Amino acid sequence: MNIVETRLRSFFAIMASLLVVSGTLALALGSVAFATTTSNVTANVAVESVCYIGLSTNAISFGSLYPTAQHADNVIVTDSDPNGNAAANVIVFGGNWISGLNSFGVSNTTWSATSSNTFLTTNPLTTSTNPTTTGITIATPTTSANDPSNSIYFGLNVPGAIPAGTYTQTIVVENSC
Amino acid sequence: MRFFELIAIATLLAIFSFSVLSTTAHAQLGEVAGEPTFYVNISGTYSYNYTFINQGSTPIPFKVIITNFRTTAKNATEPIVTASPMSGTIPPNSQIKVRTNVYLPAKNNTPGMRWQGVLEVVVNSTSSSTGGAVIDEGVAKIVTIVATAPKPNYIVEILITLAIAIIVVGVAALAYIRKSKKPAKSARQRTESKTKTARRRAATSSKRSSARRKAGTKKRSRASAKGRKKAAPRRKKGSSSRR
Repeated sequence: MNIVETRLRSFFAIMASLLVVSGTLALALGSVAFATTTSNVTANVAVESVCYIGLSTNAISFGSLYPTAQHADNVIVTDSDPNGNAAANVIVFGGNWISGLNSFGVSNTTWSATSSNTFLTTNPLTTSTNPTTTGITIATPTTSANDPSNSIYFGLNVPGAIPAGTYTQTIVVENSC
Repeated sequence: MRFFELIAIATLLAIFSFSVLSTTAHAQLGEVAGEPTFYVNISGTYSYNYTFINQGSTPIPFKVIITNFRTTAKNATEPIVTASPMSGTIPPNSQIKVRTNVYLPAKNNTPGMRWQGVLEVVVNSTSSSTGGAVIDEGVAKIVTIVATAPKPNYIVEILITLAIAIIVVGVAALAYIRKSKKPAKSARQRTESKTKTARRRAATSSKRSSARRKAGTKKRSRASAKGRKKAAPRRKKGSSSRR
């Protein structure tokens, strides 16, 4: 029994030592084979300052008016700077009112930074060669408020003795930054 | 109940898809921020590229408008500002550069004068309105132009220098040609004169020799005559002796 026991013990001892050696070797090989190297990559990006334009509407109407009638400066157009990162200044200009061969001047349309119940003659619309910087600004968009906006109001004075008809005008609202 | 539920879901889906379409299919025009100042030499030009952006998913047809450039200076000549392209389409999610050229005429303009104008990129809208106003959107760039002292015109200077150099070289070449032509004539003349002198000499020498010859014959004839005269008495003597 003693001989068997001692042989078993020695067998287990050899096996254990073999296991330890093989494990150590495996660890060493593994560390060599799966060694990881770390390197840093520096990424750069230059984010430019931009401003965009977004209008709430592409057409406004002053309804039906008689000659010499005035529409108050309360027709709203909302101008926004969606997803930009620079504040914008609002510039406006327009063209004459045209109905076939008949027309009347661009300056009969007025603009205002605030809504008014009366027709204001202080800010007549100008032509494209002389656009007006309104002084209306759109705040710098932020991550929390990325679509800031502001309003511009329009009014109309219909001159006397103009022929009846359906008159149209083009108004351009621009953001400048 | 199921039927109404299905209708409600379909409606919600339609609204959602419409809202998604309306937001994603929206063209959005923008510009790179900054109000530039161009320092332009009087009688000089200046070029600049403006970047305009379409952030949306649909193309933006646009046109460029250049306003008048105004100054407070009296009698000043307005700068000539041109842009290229003046119209076009900005593809979705991309940008376009509009090249702007400024030429500042010299007439009545002095360094330090300032002009201000606006360069506008306006969307060519397809919307229409009957009995109202169409509102078009755009972006604008306020441009300031400052006149600076004119640059010296190197081209003119180079041309003048070249012209002077050509004149100098031409004059030198002419002088050289004249000089080189004169010796050729004199050589001919020299050869001619040489031949003439040779002929003259030959002529004179022949004359002299003929003269000498003549003189020689004369002498000889004289001498023979003398000899005959002298010989005659001898003969007389001889004859007398003979007698």
